Amino acid sequence: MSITVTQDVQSPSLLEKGFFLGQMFLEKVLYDKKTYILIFVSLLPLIPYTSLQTANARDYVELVTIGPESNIFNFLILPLICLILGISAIADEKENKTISQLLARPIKREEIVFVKWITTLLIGVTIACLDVLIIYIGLSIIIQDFSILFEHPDVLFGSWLFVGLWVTVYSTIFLLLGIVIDKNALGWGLAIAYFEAFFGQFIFGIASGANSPYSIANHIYFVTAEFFLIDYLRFNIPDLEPINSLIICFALIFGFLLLSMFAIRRKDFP
Amino acid sequence: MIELQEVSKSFGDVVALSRLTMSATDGQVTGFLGPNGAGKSTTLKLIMGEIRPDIGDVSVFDEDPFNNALLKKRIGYVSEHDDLYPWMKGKQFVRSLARLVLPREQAETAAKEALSKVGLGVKGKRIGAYSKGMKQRLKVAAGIAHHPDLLILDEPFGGLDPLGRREMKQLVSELNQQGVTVLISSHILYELDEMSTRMVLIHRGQALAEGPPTEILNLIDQFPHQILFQAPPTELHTLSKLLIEEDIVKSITFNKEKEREDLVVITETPTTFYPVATRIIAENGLLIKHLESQTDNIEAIFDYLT
Repeated sequence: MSITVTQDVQSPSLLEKGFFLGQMFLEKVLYDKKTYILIFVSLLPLIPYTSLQTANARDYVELVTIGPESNIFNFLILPLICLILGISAIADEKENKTISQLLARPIKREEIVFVKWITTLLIGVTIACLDVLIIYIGLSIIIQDFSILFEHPDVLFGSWLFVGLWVTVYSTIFLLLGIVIDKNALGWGLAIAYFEAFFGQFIFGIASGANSPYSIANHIYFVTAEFFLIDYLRFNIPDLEPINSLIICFALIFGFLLLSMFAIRRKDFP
Repeated sequence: MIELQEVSKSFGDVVALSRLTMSATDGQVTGFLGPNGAGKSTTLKLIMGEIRPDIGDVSVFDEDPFNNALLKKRIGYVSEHDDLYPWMKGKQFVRSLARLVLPREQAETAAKEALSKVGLGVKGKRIGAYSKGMKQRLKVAAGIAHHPDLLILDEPFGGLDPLGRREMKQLVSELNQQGVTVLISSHILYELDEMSTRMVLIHRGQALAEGPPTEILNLIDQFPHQILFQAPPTELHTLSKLLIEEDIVKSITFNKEKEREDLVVITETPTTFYPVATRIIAENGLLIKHLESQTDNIEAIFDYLT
């Protein structure tokens, strides 16, 4: 069999390449044990829900916005999903040296980052929404009232939008970390994730006596309360309009995405 | 085709390349020889645009390779690392990467063709279960599937058995005959000398020599070779006397062990030495039990050359 040296072959379009690259990354995530550990870990909040038998909770929103269980999900599980998926998007390729295979193909570095970002969001949002659905069903079982499943679908959809925004913002931040930091990226990621819980949220919040504008999570809550779960959630950041929080969220998403693209353009992969 | 001009590259305090100048010419098989840590992989990564030089210029097909997507269509690269996706099957891996360069139907055909070329079947287990040799072949298949004009191979013989090495050499020669320019690195001289039409020697981040293999081999042959003979003492003494008469040895040493005596010969003309020594042994019917070249340390050769 002979090898033909060809140059005039028609190359796949950018969209085709992106789609195919995305498919490869999705396959990797499906193969990766981390994905299943994440799904398992993210369902752990169901245990305290069950044991506490939160009798006063009437719907999902009440359950996840009151009591310590909400902190477990919002401040531990969601950041963990974003942290592991966001950082590993590029860091895993660097660690396994498979980035070399990608860089040897006719794909720009920015395209790799963009497709990785889309894939990470797809997986992250799917896992988070699945978690919400399972918790929602779990709550129905706990309070023995299945009407919440059918009578308040807006709660479920609103909650999906809430976790979707959360995953998008945080995964994008962690994507940059995975590109820039070569050693202990996960440690740095944890520090940033829990900055939210310990500094952004509480320290600055306590100092001002109100919800802190320095917390990314607070902006996501504010947006959720005003746009996604209007009838169910009350949240406010003083001196700030909800649209400002929405702009901040989008600025963070696209700012960090652009920074990631810029960072990978400058990055050496020795 | 490939030009590196006064290229330096450091990683922190480690200087990987220092004012390296080298080239690979169109249509040739350029052997890139140097000991481990000499800077071969760093050079190839510069050529592939995975890293950028601190100082100096790198050009491939007269273009800067860094983040140059279009240029990558013309290049096939086989890295020294185990950079494979373990969850994929062999054909899926080659086809997936080819799919980023070629349309679907062509990628399918090209993957089959490339796998056949490297002696791997299209059906099989996941890459995670492959042997090191199979992984090496698969990497080469992925590197050639999209019909590159330039093929860059970083230590491609690692993990291959002797038959695999021979097949790989044949494949490289075949590709070259079909117009593919090849740049191939190794730290083992005999892996490169047969198939290379040009050679570049690199040591401590600098190019020592560049030219036809015969010239490079002559340069290397100037390094004093050390050869060990084991035989009964009388035979060794006869041999040493005859070798001295031929004037082809620099020094001769007898090492006496408990029950045997070794003869260690140092020669500065190995290409002459081996045929003459063989003739002397044969003509005089000497019973040589063991003969061994002790100069297989390429680092020592390169240290000598610098």
